[in-house]
Amino acid sequence: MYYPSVTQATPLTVIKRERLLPMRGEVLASMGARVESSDVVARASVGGDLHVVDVGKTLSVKGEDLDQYLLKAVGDTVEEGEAIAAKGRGRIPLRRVCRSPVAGKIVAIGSERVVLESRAETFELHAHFRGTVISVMPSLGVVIETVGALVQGVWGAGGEAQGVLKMLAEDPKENLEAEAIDVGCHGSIIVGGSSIDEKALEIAEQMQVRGIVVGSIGVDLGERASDFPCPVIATEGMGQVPMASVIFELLRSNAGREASISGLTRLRWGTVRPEIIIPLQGRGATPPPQQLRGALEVGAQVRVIRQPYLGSVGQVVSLPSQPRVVDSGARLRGAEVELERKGRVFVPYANLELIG
Amino acid sequence: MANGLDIESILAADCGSTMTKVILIDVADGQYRFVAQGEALSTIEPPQADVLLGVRHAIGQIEEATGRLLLDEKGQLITPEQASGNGVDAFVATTSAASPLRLILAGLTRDVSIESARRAISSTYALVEDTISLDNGAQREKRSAEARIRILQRHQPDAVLIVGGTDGGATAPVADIAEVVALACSIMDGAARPQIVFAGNKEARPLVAEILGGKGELRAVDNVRPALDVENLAAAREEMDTLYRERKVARIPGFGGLSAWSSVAVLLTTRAFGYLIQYLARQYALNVVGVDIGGATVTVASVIDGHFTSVSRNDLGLSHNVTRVSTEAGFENILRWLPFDMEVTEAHNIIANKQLRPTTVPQTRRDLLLEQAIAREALRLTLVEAQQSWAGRPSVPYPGLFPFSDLIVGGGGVLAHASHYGQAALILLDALQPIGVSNLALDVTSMSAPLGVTATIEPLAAAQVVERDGFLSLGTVVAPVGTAREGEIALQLKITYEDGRALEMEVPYGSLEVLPRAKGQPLNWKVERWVLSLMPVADL
Repeated sequence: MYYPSVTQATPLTVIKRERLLPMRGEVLASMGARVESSDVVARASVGGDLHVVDVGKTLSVKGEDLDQYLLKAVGDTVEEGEAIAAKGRGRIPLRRVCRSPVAGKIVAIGSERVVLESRAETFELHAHFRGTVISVMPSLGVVIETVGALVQGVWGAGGEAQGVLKMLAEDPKENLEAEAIDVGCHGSIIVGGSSIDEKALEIAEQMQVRGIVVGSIGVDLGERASDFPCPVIATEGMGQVPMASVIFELLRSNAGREASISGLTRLRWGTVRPEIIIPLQGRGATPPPQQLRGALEVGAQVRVIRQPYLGSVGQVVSLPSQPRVVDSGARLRGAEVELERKGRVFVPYANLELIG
Repeated sequence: MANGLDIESILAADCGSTMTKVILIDVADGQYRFVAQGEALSTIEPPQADVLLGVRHAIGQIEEATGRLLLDEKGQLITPEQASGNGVDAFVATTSAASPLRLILAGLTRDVSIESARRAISSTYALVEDTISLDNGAQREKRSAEARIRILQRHQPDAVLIVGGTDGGATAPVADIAEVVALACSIMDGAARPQIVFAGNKEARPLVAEILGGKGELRAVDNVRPALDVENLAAAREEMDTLYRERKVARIPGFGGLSAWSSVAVLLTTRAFGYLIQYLARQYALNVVGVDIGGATVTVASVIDGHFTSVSRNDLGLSHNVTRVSTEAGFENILRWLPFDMEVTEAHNIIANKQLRPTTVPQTRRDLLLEQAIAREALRLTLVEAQQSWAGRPSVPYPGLFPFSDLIVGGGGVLAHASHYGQAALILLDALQPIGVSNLALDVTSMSAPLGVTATIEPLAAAQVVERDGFLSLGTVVAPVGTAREGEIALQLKITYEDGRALEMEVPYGSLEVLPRAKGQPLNWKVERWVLSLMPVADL
């Protein structure tokens, strides 16, 4: 038995996502609330720069004496130039005053020093996709549920965005060309087949697209794509790899619909994969019951996740009981897979994943 | 039980960041023997998020191979072994699957106390996020108090290791460092506050405790530098291990279930690997170096002249950390090992995809040889740190070169799954560049760490499996040291086999000659028998 990893490329499923603040704050959405992608569901105060004021040195006092000269305490807000400690009383000429260099809040006092945090900003957490709040975690965030299509990518960059899906390729092997990106792409999530080059990225930025989905991206463009002002997702990996047909067709069938895209990627210790959510709630669609994915079986739809068949999708036709020698010379256990356009091939188990 | 043994059958698991491997040991003809191995993807990440699931999958493979039932219908381990032969008497486990302990090192001088701190954590699964020192090291960049506090606040480390000062020396500089840490802690949420470990001037302990007050939990251990010319790393090392177990290992999803199955505490993989290397060195009175090239960690554990050291690079590996190897080693160094041309872009894409798909294996020869090239560089990078720990030993006559080692044990998927054993041998030779005479052994079934933890419940089982099934002999390497012109005959040799046959050969300087093993000789490093006569010609 082999238990492979799974990539979701599902036309209709129940999608639940935790929406969490980066730090404790206030949850605004209530249980059961219907939310749109742009709705603010929670907010928090994000600290500014730190400033350390050496009060002991300014007033020429030692730590144990400092308390009697402090005019402020931890948690107090101060204005720029406001006195935070003073030595001497009233209007006597020798009075020494230690003033705050910034407007902000006192966050710590110790060792003759005061730590100030300049004025905080408010962070707003959006719903990200249309759905229903099914759980509220006070001070932390919410869980939102929707019904819709879900596609997981492999590599992603950028944050979150929403827009209408727009197909710019006819075939999964077709690159996302600069010429195909015009003013009609403004505000859209554009989808190519295979890869994208630097020129196309430039034009996409000029046209202010909301997101880019391609099969793959060259490593030399990885840094440029990471700096792109909106999310970029590769569904297969790095290099020049066509988008898996099952993903391409799924996105094509949803062209013109509103989608939510997240480029956030974490490969370990709490894996997060980039994804495209296409909410279909309210369209009368009922998702099939969710099945637990288990062992690899004959008939399963799989994707190959390493060369020489990277990105190819097919069906498992047999599970040989004995290992086989592959091109590298290694003897490996694996499956016989009927790949689209490539026919029946042997692929090591480790290079297969379930997709669907 | 038969043969008077309390424990006859043992399942030993190693739960790694990428793969989970389980071996079954059982008694046959009165001796413990390796029976079967199962290997499955680790399942610590969502959606499974249960380490025990991967263990069950690997056990399932052993059940398929042996026809022996080891799990009941609820997936629970059948224990003890039953009269039917189902089940096992004991289960033990090691793990390297937890995320590393994220550390900030704080000290007086980067070149002295902080370097000692680095050595203290070199065998722990730890990542140093940044350092804070009073001297700012070679960079001489003056970090402001704000910048130091911001470092701690930004990284939100699991722990801060404060070092500095010699015992009995001045306490004020250490207090300065402690004050920065205390201020940073006081502006963090209670749950986010790091554990503070103080391993500096012991006279400063009360002062450091007073400064930290209730702002962070403090644990004080022996000074890593009690005197300028004395280094004492044991206590700090032990404390870091304890912290790692408490803060990281115990939080592996499903770890409670794994612990409940285990007859003894779950060991860290590097520790168990180290135990086995120490056992081999002690049992056979050898200098032994063991290397383990994993997906996320590369470890070099050794006993040289009776001294055990273990160095782990937790940021290097062949899957999760593979791009770090290419960044640190450089593509030029990686590609030099390939017998064919490969563009940097192609290599870069393959490496980036491996990082994205860490569980995959090379299917083509190009992929395989690239992965083996990366393994050489990952090992070379780790060796740089290991060499520091060997300096000054009698068996290290040439500074910067490998120590005289009787036995070199290689482990990790890239070696165990090489398409030819010769490839595994070449990876070890290229990366380690051994000198003198060494036996090369391959941990082909990845049993080093499982055997290391097995030894903690049944030493005889570990000893007998090592003796009979432990490692596969890759051969003996004879590597003279000296200088000559490239291609000049450096050595004349004659090998005489047990059956009387002999082979003579001349070896040019800078070359590698392969002498055949005697026909029918078992692949066991302990029973190689031949006589080799060497006559140096050049200045060797």
